[in-house]
Amino acid sequence: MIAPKHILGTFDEALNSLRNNVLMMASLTTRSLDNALNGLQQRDDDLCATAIADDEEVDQLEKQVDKDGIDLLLRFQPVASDLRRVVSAMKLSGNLERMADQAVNIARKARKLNRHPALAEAALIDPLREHAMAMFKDSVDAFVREDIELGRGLKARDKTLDEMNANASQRLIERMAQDPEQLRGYLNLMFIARHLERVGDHATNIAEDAIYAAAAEDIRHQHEPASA
Amino acid sequence: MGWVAFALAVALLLYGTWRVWREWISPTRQLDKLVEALNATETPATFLIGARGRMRRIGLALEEIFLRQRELHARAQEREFGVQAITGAMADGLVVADGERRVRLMNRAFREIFGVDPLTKDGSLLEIVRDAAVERLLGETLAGGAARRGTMTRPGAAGQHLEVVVEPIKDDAGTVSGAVVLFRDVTGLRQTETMRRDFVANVSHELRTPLSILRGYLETLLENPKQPPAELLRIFEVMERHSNRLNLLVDDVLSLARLEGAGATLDLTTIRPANFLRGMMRDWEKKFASKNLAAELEAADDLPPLQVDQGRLQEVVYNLFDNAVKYSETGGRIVVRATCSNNHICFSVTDSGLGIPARDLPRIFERFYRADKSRQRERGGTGLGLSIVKHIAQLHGGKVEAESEPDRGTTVRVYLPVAAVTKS
Repeated sequence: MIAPKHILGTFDEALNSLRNNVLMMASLTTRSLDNALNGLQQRDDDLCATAIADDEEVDQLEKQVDKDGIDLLLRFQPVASDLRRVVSAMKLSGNLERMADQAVNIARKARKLNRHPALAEAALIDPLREHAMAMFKDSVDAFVREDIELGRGLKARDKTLDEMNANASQRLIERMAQDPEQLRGYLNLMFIARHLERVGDHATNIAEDAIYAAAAEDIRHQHEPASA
Repeated sequence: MGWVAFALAVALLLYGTWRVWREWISPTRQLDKLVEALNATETPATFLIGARGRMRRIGLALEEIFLRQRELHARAQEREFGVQAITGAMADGLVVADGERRVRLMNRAFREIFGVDPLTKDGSLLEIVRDAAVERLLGETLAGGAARRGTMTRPGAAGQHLEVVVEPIKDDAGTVSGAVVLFRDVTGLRQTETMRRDFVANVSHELRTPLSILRGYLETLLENPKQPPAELLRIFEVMERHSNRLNLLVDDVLSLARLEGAGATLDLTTIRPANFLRGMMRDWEKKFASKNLAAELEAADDLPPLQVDQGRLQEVVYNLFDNAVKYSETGGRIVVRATCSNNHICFSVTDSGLGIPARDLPRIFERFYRADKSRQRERGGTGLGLSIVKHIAQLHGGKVEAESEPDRGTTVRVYLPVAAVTKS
């Protein structure tokens, strides 16, 4: 369902409605990721199915945000921070939609895992989940509150997540060698870890867009000078 | 003549200057100070400006405005205090949102549930709560004017469950101008519900196991009644053992139900802890001997007497001894102690058995919780013993605790207050 469309009076109202739709997307995406990951941990296929079905709604909202955003740009021709806010909201929706896709991917792999006996290694996903979901929440917080400091922190946290993913994969590869019978299961767990790592990447993108909206600063593709 | 005129002119000028000073310059300065004081929300010493006429009237008018403003401020504060007191005392999270879905008021519980910074004043409900379901409920209430009810789960693995109620705020004409949203934490309720379901499932499972064994042997006997006497004896023995188990289980479930029920009563008598334990150990001598266990009692004879329900306390000690025997290897050692500290008598039973892993320890007083699922059933027991011990101790105003080291043994302690038990 899409939030009812208003007859957009002022620019502020239009921007608020746009932001609300983006926040709806963020909420639905969080729920889908939670459903997919709970489906994995509680071995519950129903939760996985819900996560997969809910993706449609996020897709619809993305289209709506794109359409409203372009309408807004054409009608009000905003400049400076107003323009940045519209553009970053539109970019956010793209990232959110791809995060929701990751939820679907996780749910599909979880369903496959649920068809076989439980693997103790599924617990390797827990710390990754916690880290990635905290990053996601903070990135949206940075966008809502225009909190530049919070946004800046995300990049370093994404690196930690990458390392966590690499470690988990390493462990799973070792297990594959020891227990080739369960190869498929371990492979699916590896994919799930990878999807969570992607969630972290999207969270970082969201934080970058939030910083751009708030401070007109583009921190993408900046490489920190190598520390001696 | 010229001099006189000049002196007069000077005098006139001086007088004029003095008048201007008194009428205009000095009062203006006072007025300036007065306004400054008002601005700093201080109460000025006086509003009387040392002038007459217009300036004085301005001063008096200012005083009146000041007093009126102070009264309004006090009234607003009073109202604010009332609202704060009412909403702050609520256990449920409360938010008032206007027609534009912006948050106008939130209480302490709401801030706590959603971790809202105390400085956060405005923002839309969606920005703060970040839940699509709640946003929809609010939208429906604002559009339709009817109260809505729903649930939301906070993100995370151990999601907090909240019941959400959205009530419209209507003006006299019936137009919806906003909504009150209430958030009630129902996580505990859900857990209780799960526990109840688990309990029923556990009881049925525990009942079914011995029943299916009994039925299996009955079928064997019906199909082929002519069994050799030795086999018949074995079958009857097994059937007896399992019917005993069923009996025990039903007894335990009933005794738990009685203990938990509102009408649980204690039949209090006075006992001497050392004598009581000595008696119990005498009754158990045979059982200790059957596993070649060395049982020791460490209890001073001068411990203060206890007011307890003797039958129930026997049940407690019975369960503790039973566990100690069950989980001890042959030839082990059991130490029974009674000590007194902090106005409590502590009964403890220490075995030298298998021990309980640390992660299971906090849960062993739950019904049907089994630390070692694979070995438990072969040792018998209903899985309710320690739960019964806990309830009896609590009924006496006491408590229980357990300490264990795997492969070294377990100690279970029961604390009972020495002071007269009031419950009767």
